[in-house]
Amino acid sequence: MSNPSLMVGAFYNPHLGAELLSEGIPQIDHLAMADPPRKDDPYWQKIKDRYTLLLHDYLGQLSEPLSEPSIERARHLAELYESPWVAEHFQCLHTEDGRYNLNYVFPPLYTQGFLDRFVANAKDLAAHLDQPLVMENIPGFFEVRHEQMPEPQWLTRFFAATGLGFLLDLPHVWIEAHYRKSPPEEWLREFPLDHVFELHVAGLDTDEDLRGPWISPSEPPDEMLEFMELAISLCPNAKAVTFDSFSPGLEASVLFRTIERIRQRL
Amino acid sequence: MNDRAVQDFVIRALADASFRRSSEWIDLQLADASAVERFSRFLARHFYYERLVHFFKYSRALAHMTKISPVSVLKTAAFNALIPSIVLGGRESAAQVADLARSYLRQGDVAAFPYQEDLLSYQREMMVLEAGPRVEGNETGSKGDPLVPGDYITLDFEFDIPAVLPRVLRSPEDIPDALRVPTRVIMSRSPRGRVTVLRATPLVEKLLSKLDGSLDLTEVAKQLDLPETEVGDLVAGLVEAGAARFGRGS
Repeated sequence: MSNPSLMVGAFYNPHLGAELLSEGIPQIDHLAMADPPRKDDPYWQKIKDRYTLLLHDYLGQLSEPLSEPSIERARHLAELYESPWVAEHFQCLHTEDGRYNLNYVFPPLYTQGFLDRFVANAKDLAAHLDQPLVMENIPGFFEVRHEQMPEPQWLTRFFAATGLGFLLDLPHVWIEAHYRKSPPEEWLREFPLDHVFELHVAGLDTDEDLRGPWISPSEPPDEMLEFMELAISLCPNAKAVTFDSFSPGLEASVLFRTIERIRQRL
Repeated sequence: MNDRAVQDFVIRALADASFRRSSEWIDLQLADASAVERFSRFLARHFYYERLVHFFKYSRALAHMTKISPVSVLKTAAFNALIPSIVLGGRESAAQVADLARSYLRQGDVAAFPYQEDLLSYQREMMVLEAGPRVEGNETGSKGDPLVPGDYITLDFEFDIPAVLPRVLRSPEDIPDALRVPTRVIMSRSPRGRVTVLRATPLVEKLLSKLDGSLDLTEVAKQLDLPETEVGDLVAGLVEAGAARFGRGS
C-alpha cells in the first residue's frame, strides 16, 4: 500500500548545507536535527526558513529523570526549530553515576524495572513539552543474561502506558532480526505498529568489528526499501519517513538519490 | 542484583577494556564474551572517529594538501593495538589516541605549511582536555567562596594559531598564512566537558596566578588593583569556561 501523503525527509548534515539549499534537488519535506545549529554554520538561517525541522537531539536517557537544564534545553530547541514533534530514544548508554559513557545508542534491559523508569520519565518529559513526544527503538547486538521480556512486548507496554508515539527505526529492526537469525518481516510484525508516527530507513554495510551488518551512511539497499513498504502498510498512523544518516561521510548524491527512491516507493 | 546495576556492569564492560578482562566481570557471565568484545571494538572505533572528526577538523580540512586524513589512523594496526587498553572517554585513552593521530599526521606532507606542528599540538590538547566525566548539575560554590583553579592548561605556539583557525575552515583550498608570532593560550574545560580557548593576556595570566584557594573575588580584585566589577566579569567568564571555580571552602 503506497502513501504519497507521508512526509519524506532526512537529517540535517551541516557539511551538505549548500547542496540542501540549491535549486533542482528532490523535494525534501523535513530535516531532523541531531545537533544544535553551530554558530559558524553559514547556511543555518536559510535551512530553517526552507525546511520543517524535527528535534532529534540527545536530550538525555530516560532511565533516569531528565534534569531541569536538560528539559529546558529540549524546550528551547523544540521552540527554535518550531518542531512539530520531538524524538528521543529507548537508550541507556551511561552508568548511573556518569562515570562510563558509551557515547552511542545502547538499549536498556527490557525489564519491568526499566519499563517503570522509562514510562515515568518519558511522561514527565512529555508533560514539559508543547509538542508530541515520539520514542525510537534501539538495536541490541547481544543478549544480556538477565530476566527480560521480549523487546516488542516491552515496547507495547510502554506505548500502552504512555500514549506516546513510536519512531520505528527499520534498520534497527532489520539488524536485530539478523543477529537473532529471524526473518525481518516476522520480527517486524511483533512490534506495536499501530503507534508508529515516523519511520527511519538507512543504509547497511558489513562492519569489520561486528563481522556483520550495521547502519552506514550509504544508500539503503532495495531490500530495505521493500521492508519500508511493508512497514508502512502495517502502520496506519505513520506521518513521515526519514533517511536516517548523520555522518561527515554522507555524500549529497547519496542523500538525494535515497529521497527519490523513497518517494518512488510511496 | 537490581537491573540498573546489571545495566551499569554491561556499560562498564563495553567502555573499559581492563574491566572486561577482570574476574569481577567474567564471573558475572552476563553476556557472550566474544559478542561483547566485538561490540566494544565497534564502539571504540566509533567513539574516536567522532572525536577525531571534531578535534582534528583543521587537519581534515587540509587533508587535500597534506594527503593524509586523521580518521584513517583508526584503520591502522597501531590503533588496533590500543583497543585492549582503551577506556572510552578517559583522559589517558584520549591522549593515546590523540598522540597516535598526531604521529600519523606527521607522515603527511608536513612541508605543506609551516604551522603544521602548532596545529597538531592545538588539536591534540583540545581532544585530551575534553575527555573525562561530565557533571550534570551546577556544582559551583558562591561568590563569597575562595577562588581555585579549574581544569585548564597553558599552551605556547610559535604562530598565531587562534587567528588562523577560522580561515582554515573557511577556505581550506588555499592554506592561509599564519603570523609567526609567539602566542600563548589558555585552554580550559568546563565540568560539562566544553573546551574553551582564550588568549592568555597578561591580565588573565595574573588573575589565574592568584587562584590558590586563599582569596575570594574581593581580595583578588584588591590584589590586582582593579574594580571588583571588572574582575568579577573576568572571573565569571573564566568560571563558565572551567578555568576557575569558586571553591566550597573548608
